[in-house]
Amino acid sequence: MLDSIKPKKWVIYLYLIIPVAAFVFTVFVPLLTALVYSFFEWKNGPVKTFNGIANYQQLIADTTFWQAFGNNIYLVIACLIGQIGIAFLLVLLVNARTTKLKSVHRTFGFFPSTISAVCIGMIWTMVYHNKYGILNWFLKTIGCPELTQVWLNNTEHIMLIVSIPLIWQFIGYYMVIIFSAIAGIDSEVFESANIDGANAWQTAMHITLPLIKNTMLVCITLCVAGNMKAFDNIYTMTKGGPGTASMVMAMYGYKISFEQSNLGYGSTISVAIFVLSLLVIGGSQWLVKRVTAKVEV
Amino acid sequence: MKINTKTLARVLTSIGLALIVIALAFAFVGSFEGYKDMAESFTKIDKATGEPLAKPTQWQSVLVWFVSNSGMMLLAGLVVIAAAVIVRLGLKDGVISVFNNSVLGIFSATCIFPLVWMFYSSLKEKRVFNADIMGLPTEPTLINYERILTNKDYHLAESMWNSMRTTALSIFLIVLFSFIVGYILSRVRFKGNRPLYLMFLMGMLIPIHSLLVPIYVVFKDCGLNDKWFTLLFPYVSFGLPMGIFLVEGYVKGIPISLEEAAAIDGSSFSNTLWRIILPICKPILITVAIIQVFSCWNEFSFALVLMKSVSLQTVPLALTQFKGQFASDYPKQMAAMLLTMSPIVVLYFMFSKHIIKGMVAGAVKG
Repeated sequence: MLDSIKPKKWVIYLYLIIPVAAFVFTVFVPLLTALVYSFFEWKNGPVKTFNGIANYQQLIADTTFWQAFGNNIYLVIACLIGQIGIAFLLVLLVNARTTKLKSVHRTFGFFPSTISAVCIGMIWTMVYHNKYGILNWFLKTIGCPELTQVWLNNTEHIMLIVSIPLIWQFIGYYMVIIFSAIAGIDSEVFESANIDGANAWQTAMHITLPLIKNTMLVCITLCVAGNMKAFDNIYTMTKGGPGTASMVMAMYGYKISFEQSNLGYGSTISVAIFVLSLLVIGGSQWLVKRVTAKVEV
Repeated sequence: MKINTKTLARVLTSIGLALIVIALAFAFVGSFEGYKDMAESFTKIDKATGEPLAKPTQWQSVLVWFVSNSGMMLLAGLVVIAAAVIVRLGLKDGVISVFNNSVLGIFSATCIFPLVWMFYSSLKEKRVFNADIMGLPTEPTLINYERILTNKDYHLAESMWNSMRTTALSIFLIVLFSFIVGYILSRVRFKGNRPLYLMFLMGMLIPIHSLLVPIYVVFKDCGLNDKWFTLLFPYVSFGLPMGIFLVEGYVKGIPISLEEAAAIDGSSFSNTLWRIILPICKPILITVAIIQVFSCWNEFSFALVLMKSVSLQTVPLALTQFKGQFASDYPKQMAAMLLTMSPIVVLYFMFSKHIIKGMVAGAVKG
């Protein structure tokens, strides 16, 4: 703190007023509004009627919403394993002595995460297309035409099908984060592990992983938060379909509010997204901290 | 005589590379219409005579053999190179090296392949693309680009201008406000300091997609929906917390004596802020800007909810119309995507090192 110099109070407030006002207006005012409107029935027009906790009762009984929540959790788990797990393994490969073209892998691998989710969704719609899609083309080329299908209509496996693009897009992102964390470890640690006869797998699990624990925690938080808000990919690829098979919470809130013009219930869903996301993010952090604390003992 | 492994490995590598080059060359020859017609005439039976339409000469049959086996040759070339690596490094290290490099190679290839595929496919006509989705274009054409740019209904150029304006203004405001607020929170002692700090920290934790519906309601009530500046509010607000914390952390590393010395020389608070601190903070402000370029240019959901006018749409929004209207005209979709991605792609490949570094710093420290 700069105690020797006292800037005038009004100067400070003048500097702060615009950013703080804009921030409060776009973040906190809508939150409070949503909380208020979540107790109103407000469909398609200016009429709003207070109806107590009816919206919340409806929400608790709404199977589609809970299915959407379940799909969010599915995405979180799939991406934790897919993105961070695969990224960690790939970083181990990149760090191997005999690996060539390291910076090329980094540049190319990171590239998909800079592209908009809409583009990624459109590209993968093309990949999955039944007539002109790469996936069906590939299956025909390797001689299994019986496996080809209309992928995005597969109700049973739709969540896996939509999570693959998501996983693929961000592997490079987490790869680079983990890579830079490992680069920060003192190389003497690895040398002494090598002298003690630890193999590559043991070194990775017992030395590298504990040393980059904090970075992994950051990755996990980013991954959980990122997938609780999944929307763009789903919107471009399936809009929650077929039926409601790939519905996620944000998509459901959007559909209720703008396609069915039910802004009252939409506000209730927004509040639920807010609470549930915070719970899941907080819960996952608590869980990870507990697990890692046990490992250290 | 003992065979020198180094020489053997070199010889094998050369053979492998030669095989790959030959395979690619013949595959390229095979993609021409003229070749396809010729090859077809050797196999197609003339109904009148019961004989093939044409009889290949010796050279032509060699050519056909090479073209039809170019895939196998490519594979053989890769295997020979893998063998060279194993010879060079010994069995265990060699196998590991081959495994590592091929896994990473395949991964990197999948990351960059869509871009390459989209690029050469966008040069094909729809008819040609639908006949063969993977083949290289035999008669490259810019017709798709011409169509999407000349047809006013797509308003693609307009949406790019909208995106550029929104992105540029958002970044300017985010950098400016992050700098001011970050500096004040880090250095100035006043009553609101802690509460403000906590408020912005909360801003980072809030799941912003729960704001999707409420923000629409509030903006509609205030008449702020669907204006050219509408999107600046969410983009700046959601970008601010991370920017503030990056600046705040950075300013903590600047020695206070600098500002004290400036004050003794009679520099006012504002003068110190703009003339002395701003130049020092340049690196972190560039990092903030880099992170936000991508998130502003790519942002979709808030634009979808808040913008209704077609003439004010940003790029991701304009792209979704290609999905609905021309669902099967893939070359056109690809041309539109490449065009709207181009600023980002060029920026990325020019400054990839800085960008990756900046994004990682933002993720880890923020």
